[in-house]
Amino acid sequence: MLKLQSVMTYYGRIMALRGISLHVDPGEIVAIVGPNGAGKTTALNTISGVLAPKSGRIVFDGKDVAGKPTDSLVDMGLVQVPEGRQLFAGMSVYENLMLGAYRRSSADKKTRLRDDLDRIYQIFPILKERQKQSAGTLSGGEQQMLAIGRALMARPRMLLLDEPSMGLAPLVVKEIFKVIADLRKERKTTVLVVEQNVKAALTVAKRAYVLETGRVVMEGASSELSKNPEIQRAYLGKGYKHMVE
Amino acid sequence: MEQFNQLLVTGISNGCIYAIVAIGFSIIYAGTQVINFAQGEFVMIGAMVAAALLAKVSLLVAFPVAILAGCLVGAILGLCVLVPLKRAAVVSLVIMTVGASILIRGLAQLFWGEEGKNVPYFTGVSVNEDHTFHIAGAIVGAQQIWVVGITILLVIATHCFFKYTLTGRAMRACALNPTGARLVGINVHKMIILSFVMAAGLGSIAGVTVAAGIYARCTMGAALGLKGFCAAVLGGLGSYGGGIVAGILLGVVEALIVLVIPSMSDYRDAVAFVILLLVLLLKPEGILSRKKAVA
Ligand SMILES: Nc1ncnc2c1ncn2[C@@H]1O[C@H](COP(=O)(O)OP(=O)(O)OP(=O)(O)O)[C@@H](O)[C@H]1O
Ligand SMILES: [Mg+2]
Repeated sequence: MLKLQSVMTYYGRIMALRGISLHVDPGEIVAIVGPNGAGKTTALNTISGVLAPKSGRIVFDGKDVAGKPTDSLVDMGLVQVPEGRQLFAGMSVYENLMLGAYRRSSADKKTRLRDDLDRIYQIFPILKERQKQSAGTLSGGEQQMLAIGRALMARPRMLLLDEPSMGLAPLVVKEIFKVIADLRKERKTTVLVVEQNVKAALTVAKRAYVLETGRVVMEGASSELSKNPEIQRAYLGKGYKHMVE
Repeated sequence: MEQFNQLLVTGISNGCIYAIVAIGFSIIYAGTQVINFAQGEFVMIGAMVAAALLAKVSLLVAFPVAILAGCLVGAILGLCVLVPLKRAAVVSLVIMTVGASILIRGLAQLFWGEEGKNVPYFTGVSVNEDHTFHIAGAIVGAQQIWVVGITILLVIATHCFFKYTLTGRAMRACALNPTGARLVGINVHKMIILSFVMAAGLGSIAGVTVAAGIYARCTMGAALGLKGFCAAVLGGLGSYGGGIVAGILLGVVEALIVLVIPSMSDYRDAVAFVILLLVLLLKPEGILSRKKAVA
């Protein structure tokens, strides 16, 4: 579904991605983990067309999409839920969701928009309760739900999620990750998720890549990675064994 | 009392024009943080194009063509601002709009000359005589009713556009969070051009309306642009509602000031700037806004 080959991205003269390769198969949930400043957000932004890679190939659905503008990638069904959510804070929950469907053709919208909205309200009932409220007044968890809901309104076939658990209480994290797992099951939505919460990420994802200073330093099945002593020490902490039920 | 009412009528109809110009300032500011000092020239283009055309065709043709001409100038200016938008500081862009306004005015003077052009009243008895009505002891010209009516229509239309249409929402989204807007697939550059086109369209409508019954001149834009700017700042830049209220208030205060200080009648135009300076000193975020707001 998605394949990156030796992708390099720069900020001016600073190299943030030093040639990363990864792939995500259709219907798969894959995680990218790594320390602050590793280049995780840069990787997602390069895939979604916010940044243009200096070299390398990005293939989505069999087409080379490196350097393509974000709007055409949204049209192809690749939608990003960004770091920091990037909601439209002065607008209502409803308006935020409607803008998620911005790129959908008007014919498609008329017939299915209402249904899609209802389905998002089913997934996140709290958003329905708050639909007239300004997005800026929502709690952190509700904002993350809205960011995901907004992306879902575009009917994505693949979601890029950037640190969905950031700043959220453990229960809310659990809920969000359950939604991600359900999306894969029910809609076959492919997911590439960036996480600092490695434990949660490895639970939901089948495979993962470890990114450090712009390079993929490790990759493999989540079950293997979570047993890896290096990963346990660096990302899962001492209490890890203790926390696993 | 009658004099008060008469001045109030004048004040409100002048203020409406300031209000429309102020909306234009706010639309562009919200999308780009740029204060477009060429806003007044949109007013002039509307008035001049209509005046030139009215020599040959009726108002029903001249008015829409004048609006289109204004929109075209707006689109060109939008493109010019867009090219350096990412690299240049906002201040440079603002100065660029000052340059653009001088250029537009200069070109208009080359093309149309210095002479004022007569624009007839929309529904007058003759070119130089308007229909009048007596309301509460004041004489109200039909053109003043047109001004107020058109302003009300434009305010409602603008409000509905930003509130209920997808494109309007997308423009607000770009102003609130350009990154988020881009990620849902909104072409932010297109929206910026559109904001210039809208501001120019509104400005040229104001231009045709205000010029009717008086002369349209190539130099008329500067003063109206600055008054509109005062209104936009007083209302809190980026806040449409604030700008509208401030525009009308400004027109009314300007008209009524002669009741308080009769000798001010020759310096009426200074009123706006004195108020603006005081506000900028005491409450720089505008009198009518609690915070920087959009729509
Ligand atoms: N706009 C920018 N300009 C210059 N350098 C940047 C910019 N954004 C990120 N960087 C640099 O690129 C590198 C990768 O940043 P990136 O945001 O992708 O990291 P990350 O893995 O997402 O980190 P975090 O976990 O903190 O979100 C960092 O060294 C960062 O300082
Ligand atoms: Mg990041």
